[in-house]
Amino acid sequence: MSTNLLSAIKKVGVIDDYEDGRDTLAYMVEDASLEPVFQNDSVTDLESYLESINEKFDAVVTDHHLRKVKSYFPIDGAEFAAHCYHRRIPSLLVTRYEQPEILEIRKFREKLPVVLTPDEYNVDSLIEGLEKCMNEFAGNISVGRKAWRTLVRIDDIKDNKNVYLVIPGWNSQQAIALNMNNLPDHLQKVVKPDMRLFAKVNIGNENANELFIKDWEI
Amino acid sequence: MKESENVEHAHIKFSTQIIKRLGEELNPSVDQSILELVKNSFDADAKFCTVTLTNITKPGGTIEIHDDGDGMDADGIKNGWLVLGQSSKSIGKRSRTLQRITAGSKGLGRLASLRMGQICGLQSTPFDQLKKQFSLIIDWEKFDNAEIVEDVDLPITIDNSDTEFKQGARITIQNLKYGITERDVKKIARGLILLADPFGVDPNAFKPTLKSAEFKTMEELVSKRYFDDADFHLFASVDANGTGEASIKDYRGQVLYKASHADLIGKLKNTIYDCPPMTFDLWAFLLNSTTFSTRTNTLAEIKEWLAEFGGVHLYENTLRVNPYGNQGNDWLDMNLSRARNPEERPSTNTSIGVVRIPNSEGLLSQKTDRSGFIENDVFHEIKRFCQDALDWMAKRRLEQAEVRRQKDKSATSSKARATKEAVNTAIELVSDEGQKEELKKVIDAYEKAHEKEVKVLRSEVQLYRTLSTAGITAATFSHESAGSPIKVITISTQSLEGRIKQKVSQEDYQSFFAKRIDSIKNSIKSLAVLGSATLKLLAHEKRRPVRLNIHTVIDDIVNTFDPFLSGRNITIEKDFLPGNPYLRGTEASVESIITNLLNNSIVAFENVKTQNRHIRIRTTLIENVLTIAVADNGPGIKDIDVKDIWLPGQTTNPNGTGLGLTIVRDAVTDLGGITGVNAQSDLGGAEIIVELPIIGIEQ
Repeated sequence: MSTNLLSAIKKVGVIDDYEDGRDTLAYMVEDASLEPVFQNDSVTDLESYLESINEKFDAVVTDHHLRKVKSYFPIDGAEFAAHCYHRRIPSLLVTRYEQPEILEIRKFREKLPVVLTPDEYNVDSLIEGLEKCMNEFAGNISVGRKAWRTLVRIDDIKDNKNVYLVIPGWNSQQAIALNMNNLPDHLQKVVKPDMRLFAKVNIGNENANELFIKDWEI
Repeated sequence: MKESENVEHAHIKFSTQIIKRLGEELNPSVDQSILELVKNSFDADAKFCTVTLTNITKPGGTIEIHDDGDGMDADGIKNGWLVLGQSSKSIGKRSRTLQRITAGSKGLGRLASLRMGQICGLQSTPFDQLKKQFSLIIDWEKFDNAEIVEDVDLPITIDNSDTEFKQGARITIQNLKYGITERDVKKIARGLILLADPFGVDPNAFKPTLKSAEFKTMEELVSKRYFDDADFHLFASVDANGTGEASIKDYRGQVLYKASHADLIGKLKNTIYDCPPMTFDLWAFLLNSTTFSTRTNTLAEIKEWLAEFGGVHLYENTLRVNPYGNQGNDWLDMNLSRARNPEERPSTNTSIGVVRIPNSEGLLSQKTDRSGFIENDVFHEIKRFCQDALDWMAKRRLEQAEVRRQKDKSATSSKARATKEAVNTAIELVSDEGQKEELKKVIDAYEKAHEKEVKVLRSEVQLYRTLSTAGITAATFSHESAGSPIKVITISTQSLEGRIKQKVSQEDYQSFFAKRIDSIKNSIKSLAVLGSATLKLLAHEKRRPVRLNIHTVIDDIVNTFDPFLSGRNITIEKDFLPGNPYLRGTEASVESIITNLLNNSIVAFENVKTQNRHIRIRTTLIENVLTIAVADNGPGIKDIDVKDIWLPGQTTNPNGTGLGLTIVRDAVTDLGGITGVNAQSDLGGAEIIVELPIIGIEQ
């Protein structure tokens, strides 16, 4: 273990609905000289599970899709990782990053500092990721993760499902896709192409996949 | 207070300029101004209210509004009518005898109306003092010459008579500042007719009238009530608990579909419609001559009626709220929804609707300039409910359309058989044997040609269907494999690599392990490409027309294919013109073109022992036409006629679908381009040429 920051982390929960998936997530945890704790049983009562999560793990590594094999988890990994982050448990999401996942994950991105693809997931990135979370808990938030109030234009809406936004303060030439259900309920009802709104966005981040949008003003 | 102190009393006074400003700035339009005064008559329990326009085409004319309502005495005039900006009608207040929920027009709207002319007169007889008439004249010029509002004296004269006056009020606005056009008169007529829900059946409803020819024509038109000619009648309602329901009836009034609250609300489960109880009727018409051929009313009549009154009108507390349902107003975005999905969606030109909110409980408030409601949460809920009902109706109608399509399909083949028999019978009737034989021959030839065409189409459809199924299956497996097996192999290999490196010396790692670990890693990469290439093709946004930079799209595809191509020892040369040409289209279409051409070349290489397999993608530009030429050094086009390569199912590859180039041709046509082929290019193999019109070049 490389830093003092991580001295509090010993047990790392590994969450994946596939047994093989849990094993492989655990390999890196072991390689980083940490103790993997396997979540083998299905979780049905999320509330009570989250209540006691501090006693189970010091950190969490999870896959995004958690509902393919029986009903392993009631929510997807991104949402679960965000819950953990909220409870100040460092959490990493390991998933293949394709378009549908990007849209699903964006909703939780504010509380999801680290998302890795399987080929990015190694001992170094695992340690770095945990450190990044700990740093954020300590109030050291990097420029790319800070949200600023900025103008957001609704560019297009497709099938009432996907919303495309242009954030001129970030890049006026690129549209960012969002799931309609990422918008607050009252906004979903009124949103229209060419509408201009204010929201907070981490515009210091160059990677479109890492953007999150919150505190919409209407 | 000390005795030596004196007190001076002061008040804020208003300059007469304020009156002028408010009067001018709040005046939306002449029809709305008159409606403001007519709504006052409604609040005063008038049953009739007559608007008379005299010499109004030029400035100087007169407008008179006369009602049989409760009237006012001097006190009512002083403390009510003349107090501007105050609404004596508090929320939910009901009128004296008819218990109407009062419209509650603020005094400001009235000011705007009264200032339309130079002089405004009021004569009023209250219901409880029928032998008195109270009169007042306001000459606005006096205000223009005074400094503050209170300086202008407004005497109210009282006429006492032995006989009774008729109760009610008469307002005359004289010496109009502007002329009123014919179009305005039409708008006034329309506004008055629609004001008190002419679509309803209440015989005691408020009936304002305008003395003019336009009004009569329009009154006749509105009274026609072509509702029975509607093909569908949607009726939706929200009850006091916020629960909605809806039904669709056909033109005979029989229920076709019913929707529960859950059916309407869709994905926002467990929510209610947070609005006062309301109803929404919508009559949708299929305006085509086939549906109208059997009816008593003509298509033209209905069209005229819809053009005048179509759209969804909104009635709050029985009075219509402007501008919902006005010509050109589409507050439910019906036309937008129709443009997005034209099939089975009504537009404001093909439907008429009425939203009724019998008692809005003060939850809605109109903007001061009468341009609709302030768009608060309650208004949005009303809108959401109506749109949910429209969406539900559209879905049910689509369902019906699908059934109809299936029926049409089977009907077509039996129809074809029947027609053929009819033709044969007709030929038998020809008396000249020579002519009969000739006709039979011609019909036979025609039938054969037609059958061939049908056969080609059928096999094309069959192939598309098969390929779609293959695509769907591939996508499912791609998702699965990317999600688990590939992930497991990737991470396991990385862990293995790390552990071995820890256990053995760097030298030993290089000599005993490095090559094997690299082999696994490379294979994973090629494997991952198969999945991600499939999934990328299916990405939702790619089917959205956007500005496409052609070179960027080609680069992306080549990058995706790269691990796969290098595995097969194929090199790609990109010979692009400078800059990045762009056009408007879907990424999916350009991707289909390039991917299928690359696939073709890859397959061509399999059949021959070409060394140094090479593909060249070249772009050139002549005027605004971009040529994309994909050539390879494979065997070229052999064993198939060059002109047949575009036909579906034509392939020399026993495992191929023969659909690749057909898709290329169709995609190019969609983009407004043409295709060409060079059986043997300078590279030795085939060259497929695609010409696309572009918009410009990004430098």
